[in-house]
Amino acid sequence: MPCEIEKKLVDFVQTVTTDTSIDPLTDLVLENVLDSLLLMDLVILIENEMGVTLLGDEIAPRNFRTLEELASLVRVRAAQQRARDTFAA
Amino acid sequence: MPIKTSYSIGISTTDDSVDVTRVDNQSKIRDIDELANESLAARFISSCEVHAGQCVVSTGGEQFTYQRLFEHCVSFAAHLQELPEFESENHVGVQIGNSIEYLIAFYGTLLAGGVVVPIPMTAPIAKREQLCRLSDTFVVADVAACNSPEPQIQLTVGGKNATRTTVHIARGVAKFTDLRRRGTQPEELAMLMFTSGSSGEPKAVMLSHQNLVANCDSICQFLPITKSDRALAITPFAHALGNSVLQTHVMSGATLVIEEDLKFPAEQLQALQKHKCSSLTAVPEVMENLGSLISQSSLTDGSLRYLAVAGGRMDPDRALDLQDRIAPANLFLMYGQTEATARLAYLRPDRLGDSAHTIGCAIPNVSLEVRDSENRSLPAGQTGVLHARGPNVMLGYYNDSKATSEVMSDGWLNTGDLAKIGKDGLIEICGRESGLVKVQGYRFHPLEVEQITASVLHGAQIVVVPFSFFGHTRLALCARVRDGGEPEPKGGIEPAMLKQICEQNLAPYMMPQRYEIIESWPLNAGGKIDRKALASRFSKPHIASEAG
Repeated sequence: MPCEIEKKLVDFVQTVTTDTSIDPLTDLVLENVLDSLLLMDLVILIENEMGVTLLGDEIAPRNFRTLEELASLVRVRAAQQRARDTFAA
Repeated sequence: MPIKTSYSIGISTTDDSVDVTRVDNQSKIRDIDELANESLAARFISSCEVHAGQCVVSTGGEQFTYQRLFEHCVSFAAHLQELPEFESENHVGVQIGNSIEYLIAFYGTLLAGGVVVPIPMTAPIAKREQLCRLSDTFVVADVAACNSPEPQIQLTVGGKNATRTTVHIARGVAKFTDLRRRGTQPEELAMLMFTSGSSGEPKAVMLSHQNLVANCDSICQFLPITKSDRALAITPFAHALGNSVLQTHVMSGATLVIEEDLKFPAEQLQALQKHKCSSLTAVPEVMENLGSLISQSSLTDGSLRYLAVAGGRMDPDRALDLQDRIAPANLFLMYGQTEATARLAYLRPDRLGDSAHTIGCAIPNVSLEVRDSENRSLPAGQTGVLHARGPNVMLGYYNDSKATSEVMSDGWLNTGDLAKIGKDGLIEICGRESGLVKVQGYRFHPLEVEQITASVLHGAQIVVVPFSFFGHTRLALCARVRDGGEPEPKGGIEPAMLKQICEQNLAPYMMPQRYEIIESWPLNAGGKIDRKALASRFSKPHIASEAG
């Protein structure tokens, strides 16, 4: 069952690429879907709509290969952020 | 000759206030008279002579010295001159990515007395043909596919019935002094650089040798470029920003580090580390992504001396964060236009703390002024159109005196950017007067995208609008089947088809990010298509604000 984050990412990439066959497991690098602008827009979307700022070393092919992997990273980082916020509060 | 430095701000006083009306920077690296005696070709020859044993390009594990580059350029120039059709001042297209071959074709063309017309690598065939037609380019140089240990360049002469010649670049022999003696004059045309016009059709900016030398000298006065520098050259040399990186480093005897396809920030950082680079100049999008990764601790050997950003507005908070991360290295924010060769203004790193939202002040030898619609100078705090004057301001647009007269008057260039000067003399960009947009450092007009796609897709009306994607400009392409019309190809239009057409006909930076089929256009009170309403469908919060 895809999570909300994964669904948002898939919707976004499908809209930008107009390719409705893209799913969470599509290899974005191998399929030549990921160009520098899409990469940047994914980073911007994740920061602004999901509240997660990816660090530079996380903006790497290993995390952007599939949207499933990317969603997983965003979930982990969001959870870490929540934990930090709770601790700080 | 001693370096003279003096900054002055044009000030007009009224009874109770002090108004800054103009920002001049009259620092001089050398006298204008001296500048007038030098062409870029002559400067290149001098640099090769002085720095003969230094490395000019480090790429793929190979080091090219200035001496070797010079010899290759002489060989390339000889090949050009041997072409029966070639005459001095001919326009030579260079469609080569950042590489030693680009430098050979660029400076080789200048040595042969030709004019360089950089053609972006991203330009599809139709675009390349359009650019060649608009610039009267008769020969195009690109890289030949071969396994030779020496650089190979292919020359394509003519249009439809083109003939191709592969040039085997050997090491040409020429004496520095001989070449200098038959050198070109500084006021002669050296380059045609394309920029987008408000009509949507590209315009070729005419840059003289003197324009290029003057801007190079001005930049070298505020950027600490030395012969021991190693700059990671990731911005395309065919872009005004990349061209300024090329010229300033070659004229300083520095090294350009070139690596292919550095798409990810981690790869860019790795390249900075691996090659012990001392500087990187890039557009804000690249620098912002790299920003969160980079730090002086990640560059443990302390090679990095500075980063420079131009080609758009960098978010002030991110700029400050980046400066903290790279200290004691410096961050330079710069502003410019292709029409001014490259740079017009810069912010001194020590002003970043309180003025990262500004473009700083004029670079040496340049004057900047804000004017109202009646062409009158405006006092500090009032918004008007930014005008620039200096030896780096272009000769005009090639074959387009009307467009030239629209932006140039009495030696002043109308930048088309809305700006205001602060009481401290620093300039803030407030937006654009024209409808030009800037994506990934490339400035163009959405109309260009509209016209290109409309010429392919018949029976449908195309409207391209810029929208704000969390503060970043992106494009949306909307299409509607004309009343009573039948779109071609038959079977209706759909977003995937629109995207495919764009991919086949547009440079990557011009690609829209949204495609929508519209049933009926939103109309404004005048009955025209309401482009703002259309854009609002796609916009995400955050007000876009850009500076070149």
